[in-house]
Amino acid sequence: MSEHTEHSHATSADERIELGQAAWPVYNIAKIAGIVGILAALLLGFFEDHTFRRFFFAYLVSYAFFLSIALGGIAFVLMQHLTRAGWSVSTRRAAEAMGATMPILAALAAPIVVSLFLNNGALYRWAQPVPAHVEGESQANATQPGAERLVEQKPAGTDGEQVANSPDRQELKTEHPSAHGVPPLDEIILKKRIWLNPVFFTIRLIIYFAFWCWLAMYYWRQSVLQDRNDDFRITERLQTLSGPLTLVFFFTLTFAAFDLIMSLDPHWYSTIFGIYFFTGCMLAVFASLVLVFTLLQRLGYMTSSVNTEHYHDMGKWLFAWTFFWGYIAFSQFMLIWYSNIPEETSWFVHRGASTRLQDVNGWSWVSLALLFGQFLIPFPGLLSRWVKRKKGSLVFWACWILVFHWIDVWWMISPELNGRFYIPILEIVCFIGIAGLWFATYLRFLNKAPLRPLHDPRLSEALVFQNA
Amino acid sequence: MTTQTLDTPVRTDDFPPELAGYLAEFDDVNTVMSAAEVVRDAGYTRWDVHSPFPIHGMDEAMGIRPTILPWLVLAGGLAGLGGALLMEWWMNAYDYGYMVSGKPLFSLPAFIPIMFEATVLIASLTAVFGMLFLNKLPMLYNPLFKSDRFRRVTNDRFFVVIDATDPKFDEVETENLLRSLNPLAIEQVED
Repeated sequence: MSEHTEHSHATSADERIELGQAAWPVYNIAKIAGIVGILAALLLGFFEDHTFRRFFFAYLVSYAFFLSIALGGIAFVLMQHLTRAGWSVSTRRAAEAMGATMPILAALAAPIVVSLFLNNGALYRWAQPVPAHVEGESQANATQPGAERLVEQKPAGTDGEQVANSPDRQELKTEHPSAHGVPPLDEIILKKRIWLNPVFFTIRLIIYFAFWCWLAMYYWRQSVLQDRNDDFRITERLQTLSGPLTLVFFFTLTFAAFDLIMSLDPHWYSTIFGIYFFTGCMLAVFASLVLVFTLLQRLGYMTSSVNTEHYHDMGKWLFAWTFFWGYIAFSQFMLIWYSNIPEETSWFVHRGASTRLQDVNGWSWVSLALLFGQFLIPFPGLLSRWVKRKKGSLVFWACWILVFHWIDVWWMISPELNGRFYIPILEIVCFIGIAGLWFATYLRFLNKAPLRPLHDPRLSEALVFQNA
Repeated sequence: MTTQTLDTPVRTDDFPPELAGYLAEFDDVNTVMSAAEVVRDAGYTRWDVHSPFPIHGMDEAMGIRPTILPWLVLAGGLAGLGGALLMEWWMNAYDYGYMVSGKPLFSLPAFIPIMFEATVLIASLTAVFGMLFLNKLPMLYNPLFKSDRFRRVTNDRFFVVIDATDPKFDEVETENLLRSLNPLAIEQVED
């Protein structure tokens, strides 16, 4: 601890910026909770149904939730370097560590990959064996691509056409009872198999995670290196790289959102879906940062280098992303609602977001809860300046937003299971499992370095700035 | 003949110069900040600080109350929101019902983009014009323009100006107060 603090800035010389031994009990509890949680979820999932469908969906919800925090951490760090921001320097290490949890998230993706190679469509229903009589056709089609050709080749009245005409899941289920409750591949999905097949999907996942792990670890390591060698050129290098890396990062994030979440309903597509997921990432990271610093400060760390001005700025970001979420969510909804094409509206119909009475189900209330809880209530709630400057009220809204972000992810994923509404008990057990492992990893990274940069050239700016 | 009349300066004898206030010149932010605190604590109300750039914390040092502009902007935004909804209802659902794309005549999702844009438009116009109004801008004349010293306010000098109309203003005491702040110079501003 001493070798780091002696370089600290004058205004914060007496604050504690290293976790040290105090972190270990919490680390162990989190790790145990994580392992117990995941095992309990597996057990519950097995009793729920023997093909683990419910488990896979529940797992993906909480997995995507923590992935969004880590991705948000990376985006936050990139953004601060891209804009050469001064205010955020003392808060940056906590976000760098969030990004640096990416390796554990890569490892935790294992169940998702396993579900693909079970080849029964348990999680992604496009991950099923292609029927033998179609395989020859689709290969012939691959050599001579052309939409009309495939349609002509298909005998009239096959599964594919019915799916295209009526995307109502219940109908399909009764007509095609299958071992897992998964409808078989239809014409639309067969056409998308070029992109949505287990091998290529796994290759893409490896590419995303290789890039994210490298990116997050590179920024974290360089930042920690600067603590030791006091070299301002590190900051310059990270800034120069942040531009092109942001571009690549957003491509990978968009495609990952398409792959991991949107492809659960392989009929549906929304080009805005990537930015919708990204908005959730940003909400998650700013809400998490507020909670992390509140917790650290209550325990006596970072007492002077993070102050009301930083909370105010993080609150402004929370407010901005809250509004942006409403903007993007509405943009996605309105264009689909307005054009009123069944293959697009089906996604909202599955979520009960419809005014037709026969479409109303348990998810309708979740959809409404999101509309109010993720946008209409926190928007006026975070509007005022004093709300963001008062720690109690800001912490309240940060918790609120995290809860509704989880509901948002749940709402994106779980209705694709079979259209029915579930009380999310298995989802919560999965949450505890992944939360434990993720938080233990996060603590490890927080513990490996001082809680804030020591020699960033803009550190002094972050320590004294004031919001006008 | 004509040129002579033009060259003749305006006779100012009928309007003898009046004392408009005192001006104290400083050359760095910290001094002018502490000067502002002293003037604030002395109880002056009609005075101002001029600087080439915004100084964070100056509002507090001068004891300026928070602006009411946010409330005006909120009112403007709400007016835009409600006004747009009213307009769309009246135009599309009441006065001249026009079915578009099989949607109901009064169709909230279709109205929201207009409501959003009108909210932003009216709120931002209120912000701009409210700011101008609250700052009493545009102000085409100020006695300070007569001071040559004051010209450096846009470059590298900071000024504390106490208006003669301030109830606490006193030709001697105010000058003494300003002198105690160690300014580079003190000047009487004449109008």
